[in-house]
Amino acid sequence: MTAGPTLTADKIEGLVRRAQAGDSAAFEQLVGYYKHRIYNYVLRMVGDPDTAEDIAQETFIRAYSSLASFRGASSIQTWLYRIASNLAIDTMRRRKYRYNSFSLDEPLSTLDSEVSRDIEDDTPGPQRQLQTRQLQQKVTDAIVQLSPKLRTVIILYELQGMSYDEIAEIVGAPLGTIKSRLFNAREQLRELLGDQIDLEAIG
Amino acid sequence: MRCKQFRKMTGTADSVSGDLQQLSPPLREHIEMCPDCRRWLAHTQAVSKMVRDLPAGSPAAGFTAAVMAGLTANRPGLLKRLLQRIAGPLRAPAPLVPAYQLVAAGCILLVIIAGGAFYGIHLSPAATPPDTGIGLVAADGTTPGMAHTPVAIGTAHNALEPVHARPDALRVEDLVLRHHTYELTRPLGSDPGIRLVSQSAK
Repeated sequence: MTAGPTLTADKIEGLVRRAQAGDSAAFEQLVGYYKHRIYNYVLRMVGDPDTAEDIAQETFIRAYSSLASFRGASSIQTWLYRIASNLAIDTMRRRKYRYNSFSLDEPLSTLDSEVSRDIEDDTPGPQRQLQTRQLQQKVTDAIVQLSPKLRTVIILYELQGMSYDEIAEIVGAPLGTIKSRLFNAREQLRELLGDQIDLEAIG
Repeated sequence: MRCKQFRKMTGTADSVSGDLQQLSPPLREHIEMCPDCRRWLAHTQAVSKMVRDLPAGSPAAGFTAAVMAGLTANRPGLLKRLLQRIAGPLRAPAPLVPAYQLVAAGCILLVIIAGGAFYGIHLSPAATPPDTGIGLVAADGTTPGMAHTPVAIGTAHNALEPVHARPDALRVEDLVLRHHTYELTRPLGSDPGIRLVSQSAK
């Protein structure tokens, strides 16, 4: 989910150390490297692209301001996800967040103009494409209906491809709790999606 | 194996999103025997895949630039932003008088007040009022006995107040202020019994 070349752990560690020493160019590289993951994670958490953009930006700004306190006990990625999680959950709680679903076809408004959303899609045929998008919308809506705790775990596991250990570190909960939440999230999604479940998708 | 046990074991396992052949023999045995759990597992696998297949979005083109601008921007806190919204931009505070000047002025004032209170002032027709205060001058200028009348120097904002409750004690109405000087409107007795006190001390 990153745009651009993958950075090695050593390279990332070096960038973090330089950023801690006040090198803003190094921090800029870290932002460029992690922004897609953090943005997509927050997008699935809050369901709204504009809010996701705000929270993702704030995640990096907060990270920079407390970079001096980052001791490397966890990876910088885990640390960023933790900040993003807290901000997303806090934002939803404060606003008594109401999810406004957005269409993937809906143009994205910018300061200057409207641009189409940059969504990766290689589905063939307009009819199939439409069905796929409708289904994706239903899945998106169902995810946002989960409690923040369940949502966090299923997004990190299924969409961000994280291990149980990594999720446990981000969420700050025991491994057993993470597994239990994942189970409950899947069960609730199964109920929410009902007959929309595409059994053909698994072949 | 019961269905509940089977679902708990497989629902949290990677096998949900992977190969059924990875299931342990007891789990495989159960799913071969139980159509409900087969259906359940198929649905759970489908849900898992539907979530994984959601398209990824991209942050706006200026995302990194916005973050970097946010690092250096002098962003006001929430409270200040709210205040600014209500009252407009806050004005810069007026320059403060240096603390040492305030201390010096306080000390001078204390010395003046204390000195006046303890040592009295010479009352004579020739008495010259100090720049910062007032003096007492007898109207007829013939009251030499009043040289040591205990009065304190005050400012023009001060008032006179009788010290003793004597019938002949000088009262405020016995004085008139002219050119920063209180002048007596009648001759003083042997003890005018007056002093100057600040209004705040009343």
